[in-house]
Amino acid sequence: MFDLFSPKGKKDTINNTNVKDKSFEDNIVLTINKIKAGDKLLREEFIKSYTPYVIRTISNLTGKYIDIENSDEFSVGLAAFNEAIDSFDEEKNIYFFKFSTLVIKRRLTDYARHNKKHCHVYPFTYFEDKNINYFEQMHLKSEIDLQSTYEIGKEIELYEQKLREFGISLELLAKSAPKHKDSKYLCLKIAKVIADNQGLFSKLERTRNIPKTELLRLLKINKKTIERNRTFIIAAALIFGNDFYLLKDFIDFSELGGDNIERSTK
Amino acid sequence: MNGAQNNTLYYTGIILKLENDKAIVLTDEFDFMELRLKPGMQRGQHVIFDPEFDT
Repeated sequence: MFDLFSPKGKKDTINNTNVKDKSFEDNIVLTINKIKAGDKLLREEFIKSYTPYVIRTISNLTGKYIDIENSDEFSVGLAAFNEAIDSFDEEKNIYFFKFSTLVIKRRLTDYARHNKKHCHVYPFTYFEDKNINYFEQMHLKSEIDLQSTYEIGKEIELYEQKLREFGISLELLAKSAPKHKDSKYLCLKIAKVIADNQGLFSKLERTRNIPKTELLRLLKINKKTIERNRTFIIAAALIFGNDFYLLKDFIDFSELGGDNIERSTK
Repeated sequence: MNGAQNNTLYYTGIILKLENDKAIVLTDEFDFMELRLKPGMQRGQHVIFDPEFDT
């Protein structure tokens, strides 16, 4: 395991870019080392050269077309790419572009969460300030990370407490949650239907159990699916139906898609 | 690993709980997984891990 910004050394097994050529990677590492040694011009050139990569990464992560003139995500992505240059450590045996993709993803998630919660935009001014103090910038970001960890930790405490009211522990979830992707998505969709239906969700909270009869009237699903995955469906419904904004923001629902469980016609 | 299916070889997660020798993590793909406890881990921390090595 390695924290994104203080990675512990480990074998690189991340496999989500096409950059595999060893000499190319060596050149990238060489360039990054020069930049980190203080070559500001090279930093600007490097960022400029890989701006299309940053745009493509942001677009892939957000699923949106990126308007570089007006997009806040673009600014966040560029700042994250710049941060990745400073944070990159070749000793950790990870490809730079894989690492920078992770940093961009993390910063976009932070941005989306922060923006949603406080309705304001991060003051990323990297391109306005040529004399930016990178050490200070990194220090400031660490403070933000600590604050973020504290806030989400508090939310997790409330979530765990809520689960306990249903007789569910996190240990049980780790052991019993569906491992197969299709089963998991089906359960998540069932949980979403419960959370979105005020009557069903109230009954879930009141009885501490899944309102099976009503659910089976609404959806064409197997009763055994609900019974086998009770803990996971409840755990997901509690996140969807309550104010666990930070957890919701963290989870990627893009593959969940729309509500495509067949509805019962009864 | 805990057996959850994933298209990538790494996971991004939030640490939900620390126990004696393990941490329970919720991934961004909604998998609950157990990781080996490492120094410096704390609840709420975002982690990237390789299930082959870390679970």
